[in-house]
Amino acid sequence: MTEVATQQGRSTTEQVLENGQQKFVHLRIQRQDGPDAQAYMQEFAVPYTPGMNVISCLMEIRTNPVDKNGRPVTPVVWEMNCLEEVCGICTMVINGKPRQACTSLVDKLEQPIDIKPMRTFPVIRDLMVDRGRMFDALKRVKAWIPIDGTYNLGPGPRMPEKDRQWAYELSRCFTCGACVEACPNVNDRTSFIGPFALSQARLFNEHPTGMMNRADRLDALMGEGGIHECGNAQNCVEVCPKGIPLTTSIAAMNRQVTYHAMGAWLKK
Amino acid sequence: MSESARGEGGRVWTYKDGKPWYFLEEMYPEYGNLVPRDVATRAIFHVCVDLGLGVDGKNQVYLDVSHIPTEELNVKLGAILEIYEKFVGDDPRKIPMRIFPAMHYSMGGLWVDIDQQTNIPGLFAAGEVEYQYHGANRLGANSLLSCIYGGMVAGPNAVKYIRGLRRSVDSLPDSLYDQHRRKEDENFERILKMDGSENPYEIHRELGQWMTDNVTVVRYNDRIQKTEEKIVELMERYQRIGVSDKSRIENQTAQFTRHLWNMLQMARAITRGAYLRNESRGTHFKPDFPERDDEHFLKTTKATWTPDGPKIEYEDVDVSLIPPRTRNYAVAKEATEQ
Repeated sequence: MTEVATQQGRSTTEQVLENGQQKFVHLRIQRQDGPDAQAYMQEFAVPYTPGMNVISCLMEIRTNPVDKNGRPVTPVVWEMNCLEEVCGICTMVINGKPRQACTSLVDKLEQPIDIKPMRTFPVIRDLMVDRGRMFDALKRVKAWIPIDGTYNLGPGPRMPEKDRQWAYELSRCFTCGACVEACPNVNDRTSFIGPFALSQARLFNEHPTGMMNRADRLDALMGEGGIHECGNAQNCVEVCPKGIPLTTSIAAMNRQVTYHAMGAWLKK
Repeated sequence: MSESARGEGGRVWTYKDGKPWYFLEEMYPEYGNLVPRDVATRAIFHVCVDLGLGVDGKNQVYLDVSHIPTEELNVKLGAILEIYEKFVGDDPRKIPMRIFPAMHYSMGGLWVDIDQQTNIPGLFAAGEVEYQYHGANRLGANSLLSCIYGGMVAGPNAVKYIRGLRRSVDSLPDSLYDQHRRKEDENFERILKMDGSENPYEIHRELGQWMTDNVTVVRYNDRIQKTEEKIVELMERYQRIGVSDKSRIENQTAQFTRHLWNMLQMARAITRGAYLRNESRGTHFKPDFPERDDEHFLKTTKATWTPDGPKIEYEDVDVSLIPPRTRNYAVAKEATEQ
C-alpha cells in the first residue's frame, strides 16, 4: 500500500550525538523463552536515531543482540509486517497501553520504554502472541459476506453513501487485539468473544448482502461468550488505534439482539 | 504515503527562487501530477539530487492536498492521511506532506505459462508472486488484477492438471518424501549450528543499502557491476554467520538466515538482469543509455539459477494487439500516436 516513503521510520546509520556523546534509547522488555517458560525482564540501550519507533529499536537489538551491560542475549522475538498500522501483528503492551509497535514513536514515549506481550492471549515467545481466538470469534459471528459460488450472481444491492461512510469506519478494524487486551471481561473466567467481534457483526449486518445472515450473527451473540458478557467498562473504545466507535457498536448490537430475542419469543 | 493521494488531486512541489515550483505540472503539462510513478520518481530525484532543490536541503519534496476540502479528504483519503499524521505529527489537511519515492513492489516474479503453470510441472503461481502484467512499470491496482485474473486461470488449470495425471502423490514411495524432508531438516540443523562472527541482519542491511543505492531509480553499469561483486562477497560472509539463537521455539534468527540466502540469490539475478539491459525502459533507467531500444530489448528477462550465478535469457513480448509507441508525457496522447 505504501508507495512513497516519508522520512520517518527509516533505519539509518546516522547517529545522534548529544554533547559529543551517543544518545541511547532505554528499553525494559519482558521476555519469555517459550509458551510454558517463566517470564523475566531484560534491559537494553540502543543507539538513538531520529524518527525511531519501537520496531526500529527491536531491529537494532537483533542486529546487535546484547543487553544494557553488553552481555550477549538471544534476539528479542516479535512479529511485524506492514509497518504502517494496518496489519495488527505488532501489537504489544507499551508503557502499559496495548498499541502497535510501528506507530509507537520513541520521541513521544517516556523512557525506559516498558514493553510486554499482550497476556490476554497465549504467549508463544517474548512479544509474540497467538491471536487465534480473535479469528475464531470472527468465524462465530460470520464476519463475512457469503456470496462465493460457481456462477455469476450479478451485481448486488447498493448501499447508501451515508451508511457506507460510517460502515467504513467499522471496517477499519484490523483484528489487532488492543480492545481484547484492554477489556477486563476477557479473562480466564469468561468466554467473552471481545468488543471487536460485536462491532464486526454490526458491520456485516448493515451490509445489504451481509444482512441475509443477520439472524445467524445475532444468534451467535446471544450464545456462549456473547454480548451479555460485556460489562460496559468502555476500555475498548479508549485503546482502539483506529478510533472505531466500539461502545456505539455494542449499544447498537444490544438493541438488535434484544429485538431479535423478543421476536423469537413472540413467534413461539 | 499511497499513490492515491496524487490520484485524488495531490500536487507535488518544492521551493525554487523562494516560490512554490509545481515541477511536475511544468515538465508534463498534459498529465501534470498524474504522470506514471517512474516518471514522477525520476523528476523528484532530478529536483532533489541534480538541482539540490529538495525541501530544507534534504531529499524530500511536498505532496500537497491542503487545497482539497477537508470533508472530501476525510472521505476519500482519511485512512492514509491519519497514518501520516501519526508518524509525522503534521496534519496533511493543512500542511503539505514531505515525501520521497521508495520502492514497495517488484515487477518481476516466477515465470509462468499461459495456464499460470511454472516451469515445475504441477506448480501453479497466481498473483504478485508471478511476473506477468507489469512489464517495465507497475500500473496502479495491478496487484488486485493479478490476484483476480491469476487465480481465475490457475484454479481451473490446476484441476485440469490433476485430472490428466496418471500417477498421483499417494502412489509415490514414502522414501522420496522422507529423503527430501531429511535434506531440509539437515539444512535447518546446519543453520542452527552456524557459529561465525557475522550477523545475518547486518548482512541484510548491507545488501539493502547496496541494492537501494545502485540498482533502483538510476542505474550505472559500473556501479551495478560493483554491486554484484558485493553480493558475491556477502554470500561468502554468509557462510560465516553466527546464529545467536539456538532455540527450537519460533527461532526467527534461524528462519531469517534461511531466507537471507534466497534474498542474496534474488538480488544477484536482479543485478545481473539490470546490467545486461543496456537501454532505459519504464523504471529501468540508465543515463548512459537514455533511449528505449525495442529492437534488442522489447523482451522479458528470464533468470535461471545455476551454481555459478544466474543465467539470463530473453523472451519476446507479445505486442500483436497494441503496437508500442513512444512514452512522452510532455505532450497529449494523440501526439505520440502519429
